[in-house]
Amino acid sequence: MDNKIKQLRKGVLELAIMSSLNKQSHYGYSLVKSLSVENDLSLTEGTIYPILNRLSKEGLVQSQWVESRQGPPRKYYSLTSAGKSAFAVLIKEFRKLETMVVRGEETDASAEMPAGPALDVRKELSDDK
Amino acid sequence: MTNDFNPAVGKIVDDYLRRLRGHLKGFPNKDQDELVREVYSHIYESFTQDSAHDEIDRVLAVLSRLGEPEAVVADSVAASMVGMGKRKRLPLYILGGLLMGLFGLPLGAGGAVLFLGLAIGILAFILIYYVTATALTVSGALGVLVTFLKWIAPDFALQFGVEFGLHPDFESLPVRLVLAFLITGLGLGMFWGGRYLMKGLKFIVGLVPRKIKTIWDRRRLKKAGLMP
Repeated sequence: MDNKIKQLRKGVLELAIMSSLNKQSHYGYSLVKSLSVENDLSLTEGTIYPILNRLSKEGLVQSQWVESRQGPPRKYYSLTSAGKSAFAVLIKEFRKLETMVVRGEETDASAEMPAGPALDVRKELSDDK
Repeated sequence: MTNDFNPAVGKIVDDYLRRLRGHLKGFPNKDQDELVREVYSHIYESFTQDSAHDEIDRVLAVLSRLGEPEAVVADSVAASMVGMGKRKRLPLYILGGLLMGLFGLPLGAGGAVLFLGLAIGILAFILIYYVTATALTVSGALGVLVTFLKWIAPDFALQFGVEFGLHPDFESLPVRLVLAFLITGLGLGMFWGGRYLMKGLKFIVGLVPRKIKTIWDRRRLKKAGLMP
């Protein structure tokens, strides 16, 4: 189960990082804060770095070292224009998936009509392909 | 690097960064330095924001939130991130592992010699094959020629044959001719079959690299979460 949660998080975390960078540029620590302040997600902070590196290898994110008023310089990340358009596509897809999962859960709760809505979900799945 | 902290805290941070660097072995130095600098900056920011009073507790909490160095490096990522250096070397490691597993040989001099031996063996086989094919073709063709000569110009053949110590036998010429043709055909057939031999050898020789590539691709897909 832990592994399943990890898998799920990994995928969503990447999108969350893009979402955060879509609003403003961040250095690693501030990005972690932006991700975990509003929600109660206990995040292993180091996991953002592999994701940031991958995103930057894919050209979706750019980075720049900036001197800090206090302490060592910070590496700021922001979305490139390719990153912005990729995010627009991904967030749309994510909303669809969210709807699908939520609807699936509702179906599960109402045992009276098991067949109908479940079929709907399946249809949506095949539509996506 | 750690002079932003007091000595005791600095030592803990140093130790963490050293372990981090240990996980980055094989990556280009520039990428190693970049990530270590970045993680150092993270530790610093996190440390200055933490409210715990005791500095040791604080840095330990910071590092615990950051996670083990593996978490910072690991993931699909490690590969794509600092990429190439390690990716190129990995098949070699696997090959080394395979050799050790199969023959109990470390991929040092022993492995090299083993490979050399295999390569020489295969080359020798190819050489022998073609030498045999050439010999059959040439002797078969000569046989055809000589038999024809005997048939067409027995006198000349006799003279020729005696000169070269051949037995001047004129009987069953058609049988000899057929035999000579068969031998020539066998030699030529071997040349023709050589293409398939080479293809087969290529296939066998390519088995190991291909297997390694499959394993490697599967690992990468697995790491990227694209495969269960």
